[in-house]
Amino acid sequence: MRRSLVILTSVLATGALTLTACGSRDDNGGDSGDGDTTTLTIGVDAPLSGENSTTGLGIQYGAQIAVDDANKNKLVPGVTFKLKAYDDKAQPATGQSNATSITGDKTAVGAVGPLNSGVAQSMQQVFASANMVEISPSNTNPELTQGKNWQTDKKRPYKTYFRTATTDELQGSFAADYALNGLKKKKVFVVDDKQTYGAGLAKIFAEQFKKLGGTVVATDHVNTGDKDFSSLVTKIKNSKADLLYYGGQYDESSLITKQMKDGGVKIPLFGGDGMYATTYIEAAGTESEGDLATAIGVPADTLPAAKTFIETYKAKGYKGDYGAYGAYSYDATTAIIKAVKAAVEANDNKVPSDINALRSSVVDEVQKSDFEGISGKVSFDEYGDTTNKQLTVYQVTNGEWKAVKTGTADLG
Amino acid sequence: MSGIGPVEPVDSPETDESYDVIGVDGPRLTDRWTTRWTGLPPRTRRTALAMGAITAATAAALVPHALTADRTETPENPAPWPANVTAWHYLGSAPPASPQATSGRFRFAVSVHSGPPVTVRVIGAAFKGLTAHATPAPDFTVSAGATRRITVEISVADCSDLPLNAHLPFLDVTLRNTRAIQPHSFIFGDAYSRDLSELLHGACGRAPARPAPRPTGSAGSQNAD
Amino acid sequence: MNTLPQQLANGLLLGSMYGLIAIGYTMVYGIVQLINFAHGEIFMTGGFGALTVYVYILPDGTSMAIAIPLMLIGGGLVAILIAVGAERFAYRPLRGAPRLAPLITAIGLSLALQEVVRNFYPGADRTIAFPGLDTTHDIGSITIKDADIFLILAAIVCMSALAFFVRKSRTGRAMQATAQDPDTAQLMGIDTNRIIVIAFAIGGFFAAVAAVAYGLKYGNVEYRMGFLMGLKAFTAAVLGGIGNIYGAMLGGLVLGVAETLASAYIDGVPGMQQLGGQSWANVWAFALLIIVLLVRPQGLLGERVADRA
Repeated sequence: MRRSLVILTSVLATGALTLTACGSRDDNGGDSGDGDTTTLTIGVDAPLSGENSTTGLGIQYGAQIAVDDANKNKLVPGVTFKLKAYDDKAQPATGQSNATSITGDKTAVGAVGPLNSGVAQSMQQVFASANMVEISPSNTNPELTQGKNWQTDKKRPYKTYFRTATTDELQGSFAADYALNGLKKKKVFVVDDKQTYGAGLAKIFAEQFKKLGGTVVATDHVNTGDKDFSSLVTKIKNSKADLLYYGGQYDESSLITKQMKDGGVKIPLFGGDGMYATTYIEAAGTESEGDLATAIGVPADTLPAAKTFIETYKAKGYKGDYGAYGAYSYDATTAIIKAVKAAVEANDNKVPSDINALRSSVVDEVQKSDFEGISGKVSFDEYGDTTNKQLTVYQVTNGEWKAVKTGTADLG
Repeated sequence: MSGIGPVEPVDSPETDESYDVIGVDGPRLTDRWTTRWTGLPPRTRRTALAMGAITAATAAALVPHALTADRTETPENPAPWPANVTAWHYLGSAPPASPQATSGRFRFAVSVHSGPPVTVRVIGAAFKGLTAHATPAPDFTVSAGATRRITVEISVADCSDLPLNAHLPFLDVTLRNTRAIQPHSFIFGDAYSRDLSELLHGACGRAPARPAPRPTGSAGSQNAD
Repeated sequence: MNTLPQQLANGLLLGSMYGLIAIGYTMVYGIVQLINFAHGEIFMTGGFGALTVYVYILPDGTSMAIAIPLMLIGGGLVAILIAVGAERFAYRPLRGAPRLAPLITAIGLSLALQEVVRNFYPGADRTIAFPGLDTTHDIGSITIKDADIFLILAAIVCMSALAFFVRKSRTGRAMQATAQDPDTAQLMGIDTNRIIVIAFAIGGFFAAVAAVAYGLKYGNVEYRMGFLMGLKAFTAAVLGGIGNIYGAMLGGLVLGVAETLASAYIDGVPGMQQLGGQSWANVWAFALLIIVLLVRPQGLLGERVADRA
C-alpha cells in the first residue's frame, strides 16, 4: 500500500514535469510525399499558452489558414505545405530552442513569428546561421531590422529576418501625436514592463511626447507576471498625470487599468499593439472603457481581401484573436509560400533536392516579394521592414475596440 | 520511465489537418468536453441540448445555401476604404507664395491605386498652432491609377506649444470616396521634418522679435492645469 | 498630496493576504517540518473553487452578500480537500523518508495542480474574470475598495479564531504538544495523524479565504496565481519565524509594507533612481528577508530551537 502511494506520487510529479516540459519532437514525416509531391514545413512560433497567448494564437491560426489556402489552391504545384506550431511561452530561451528545432527539421523552409520582440532577438541568430527565412507578423522593435544604433546609423543585422509589422519608431510617434493632438493630454505617466518590446516602445513614446511639447511626469517599470499594482496606482494618482502610457502586453495592462480606475484615478491608459486584444477588454471589464491602443495596420474589417480570412477564422472556431496580427501572419506565411514557388520555378519547376539551397533561394525570393496580401501590399525594404507602414489608434468604446484614427507613413 | 512523454496534438477542429503543436499539451478534446459537460447544472445541460438541436436544424437548413452563396460571391467586390488605397509621397518644399516667414509650401505626390476616385482635404499639420490647406483648392480628387502633384501651404498661427524640431511630423487629412470618409494621418520621413522645422524655426525661432500670443512657453503652460 | 497613508494601506492589504497564506506554510512546518511548496497551488485551487460556486452553481444575479459566504465555503472545501488529500496521499507515505523526498514531491505536486487546472478547468488557459467588489470609499486621504475591507476583516477574524483555537481548545493544545515533540505527544495519547490533517485543513481553508479576497480585489484568477503568492507567503512565514502563527501574519504584514514602500519611495531617494519602482519591489523585499535572517536567524517571532532540522 505504502509503496504504491509513493509510486502514485512520483507518477504525478513526473506527469507534471512532462506537462510543463517543452517537448520537441523529431519529425519523421519528412518528405515521404506520395509519388511526386514534396511536403515542405513552415514553422510558426508564438506564445500559444499562458501570457500573450490570445494574440499568439491569432498568429498561429493566421498562418494555418494561409497554408490551407495554398494547399487547396495548389499554389506551388507538386508541393504540399505543412504548418508546425511551436509554443515559445513568450520566453526568449524557449523561442531559441524552438528556432533550433525548426532549423533542424530537414523539411522546413521558413518560419513565421515570433510575437515578442525580445523572443525574436534570441531567434534571429539561429535562423541566420541556417540561412532560413524568418518573417515576424508582429515584432515592432526597430533594433531587429535596423540594428542597435537605428536612430543614428541604420544597419541590418540579419538578412534572413523580415517583418510584416511596422516599427515602434512610427508606432510610438503616432501614439504621442494622438495623445497630444487628438486627446489633448499634456502630462503622461509612462510605465513599461522592461521587455525589449515594451521598454523600447515606452521610450520612443516618451521621447516623442516630450519633443511635441508634452511632459512626462514620471516613469516606472513593472515585472511581467505582477498582479498587485496598488503602489504604482498611488504614485500615478499623486503625479496628477492625465494619461498613463504603458509599453507592454495586455496581461499586465488589463490589471493596471482596472486597479487604477478602482483606485479612483480616472485617466485613460494608452498602449501599443501588444495590448490590442479582446482579452484586454475581457480581463479589465468596464474599467477598460475609454482606453486606447495603437496597432499595426488598418482595421481588418476595412480590408475587403481580409473578409474571407476573417470568415474562415470564425467558421473554423479557431481560438485566439485574429484582430491584431492574424492578417499579417497570413501574409507572412504567403510570402514564404510564394518565395518557394519562385525558387521552384527558377529550378526548372523542380523542388531543389538540397534543402539548404532551397532555404537560401527562399531568403532571396522573400526579399523580392511584391504582391497584394490581405493586409495590403507585401514587400520589404533593404532592412527587411515592410513597406506597408500603416497604423491605427483604437479606443475601447462600449466594450469593443473601435478604430478612431488611421495613419500611413511614407519615409522615403 | 522517461521524463518526457509523447506530446499530444492540441485539439484542432479538423483532425486530419496538416497540423501539430510542440510545446503545448492540450487535453484530449473528448475529456475536456466531458468534464465541462458534467460540470454543468442539469438545467443548463437541458437548455444546451435544446439549443444544440435547434442550431443543428438551422444549420442543416442554411449551410447548403451558405456554401453556394460563398462560392459565387467573389465578383461582387465592394469599394475599398479610401485610406487603404491612397498614398502620399513628399517631393520637397516649394518657394513660398509670399515672402512672409510664417508660412511655407510643401509639394506632395498623391496617388490612388484602385477603387473609386478619392477626394482629399488637408485639415491640419499635427500641431494646434499650424494651419494647413492644399492650394489652389482645399479639396482635390484623385482617381484610381492616377498620381496628382499638389502643394500644401502650412502657416504658423501660434508659436506657443509648437515644437520646433518635430520628428516624424504628420499631415492630417480626410479621405472620402463612395465607401467611407476617414480621418487619416500621413507621416513623412526626414526630408519633410527638416523642411518643416526650417519653417518653424524661421517663424518662431526669433521669439523676441515676434512675441507669441501666449508669452508662456510650453514648459510654463504645463503647470497651469 | 501625502501618499504615505495610502501606501501603508496598500502594503498592509497586500501583507494581510501574504499572512493568510503564510499560516498554511507555518502550521505545516511547525508540526511536520515539511515545507509544503504546493501550498501556493492550494491557494489557487481555492480561488477556482470559489469561482466555480459563483459561475456554475449560484443563479445569475445573486447578491454578493449571499454569494461571498457560499464562495468561501466552496473554495474552502476544495482547498481543504486538496490539502488533506496531498497530506494523505503524497506526504504521509514519505513521512519517514529523508527530508528531501517530500520537498521534491511538494514541488511536483505544485506543478501537477497547476497543469491540471490549466488543462481541465474551462477557460483556465488564460486569466478568468472573477466577480469583483469594486465600490470605493475615501477615508481621509486613503481610497479603499469593498474587497479591501473584506480582506482586512477576513484576516482579523481568521487570526483571532486561530489564536483562540490553538490556545483554548483541546485540539489546539494537542497541536501545540505535537509541534513540541510528536513522539512524546503520541505517547500521551494524542492522535498525531489527526492533528497533522487538521493543520493541513486549516492552512488550506486560510489559503482559500485569501484566494477569495484575491479574486474580489483583483477581479480575476488564473492558474499561475499561486506561484508568486506562494513564494511571497513562504518568505513571510520565514521572515516572521517559521512555525509561529503570529509570526506568519506579522511577517506577511512586514513584507507587504516593505515591498510597497520600496516600490513607492526608493526611486525618490537621491542616487537610487535606478533601483526603485515597482520592478525592484521584490528585490527589496528579499533584501529585507536576508537582513532579518542575518540578525535573527530564527525570524522575527521565532524561537531559537537547538536542533529542529
